[in-house]
Amino acid sequence: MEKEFTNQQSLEMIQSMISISRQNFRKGGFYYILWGGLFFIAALAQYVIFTVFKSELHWLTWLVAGALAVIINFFIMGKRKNVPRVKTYIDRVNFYLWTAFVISILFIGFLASQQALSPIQINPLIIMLYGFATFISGGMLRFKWLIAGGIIAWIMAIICTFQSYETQMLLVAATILLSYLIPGIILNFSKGNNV
Amino acid sequence: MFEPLDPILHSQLRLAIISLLIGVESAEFIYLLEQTGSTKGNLSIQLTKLKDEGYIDVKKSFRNNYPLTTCFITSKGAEAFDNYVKALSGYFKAGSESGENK
Repeated sequence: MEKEFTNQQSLEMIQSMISISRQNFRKGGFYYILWGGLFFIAALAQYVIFTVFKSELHWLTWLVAGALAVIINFFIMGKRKNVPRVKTYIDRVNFYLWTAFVISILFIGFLASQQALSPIQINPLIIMLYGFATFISGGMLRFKWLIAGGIIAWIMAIICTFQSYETQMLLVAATILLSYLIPGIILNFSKGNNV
Repeated sequence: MFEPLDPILHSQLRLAIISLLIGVESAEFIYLLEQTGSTKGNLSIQLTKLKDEGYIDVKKSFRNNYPLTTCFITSKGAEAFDNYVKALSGYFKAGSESGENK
């Protein structure tokens, strides 16, 4: 295919190929629904277990949701093993960003286990960190709903600071719903570039 | 005076490959094949030309016992693409200015 082509065709070629690359950024909506959905359920289940069953093991819902999300994630990725892959810079930065988020959460857990933090301080700190990661993710994807999600999370973190432990659990669920699950659903079903 | 267009990039398939690679970190051979609508043979030839020119890097490996070819753009390739786009926009700019003068 060494045929000559005009400058106009050349420009159209560049535009069409670059728009294909951009579409790759927008295929991750399903994973937002998976992780957001499971953690939303985990937050609500934690509230029910804590308030209705008065169990001290209420935090286990997060562990179960996290394990389920990882298993389903790997299962789906395994099924798509033979799909040709393209790796974007955003994929890599997103991986490091959310890994850093999980490590920071583990550090908060460590501080709490050492009684360096009171239980009431844990949720606002986690929501603040979560807003940080969501805000950056949204900025990289140029996805305004996720950027707004990050800002909502920071506002929720402030509100959370003045609430009881039980109410905080509901606010965590609301934060996940508004700032992650709903943007994920919009991302999954949107076809336009400027969402 | 027009900047000459890089003959390596001023080819339909090679420009398509570089335009795809410019926005990503890496892309597999099959992905490039699907997106460009080329044939395997032609794609291989053009990838080799781009590699020989130092515009892309090609990594050969295996996945599930099948050969896997992954392509990356190099900084030289990115620079060449940038210069190509600048030169191309020069042609369009000159075209629109001569249109305005008429």
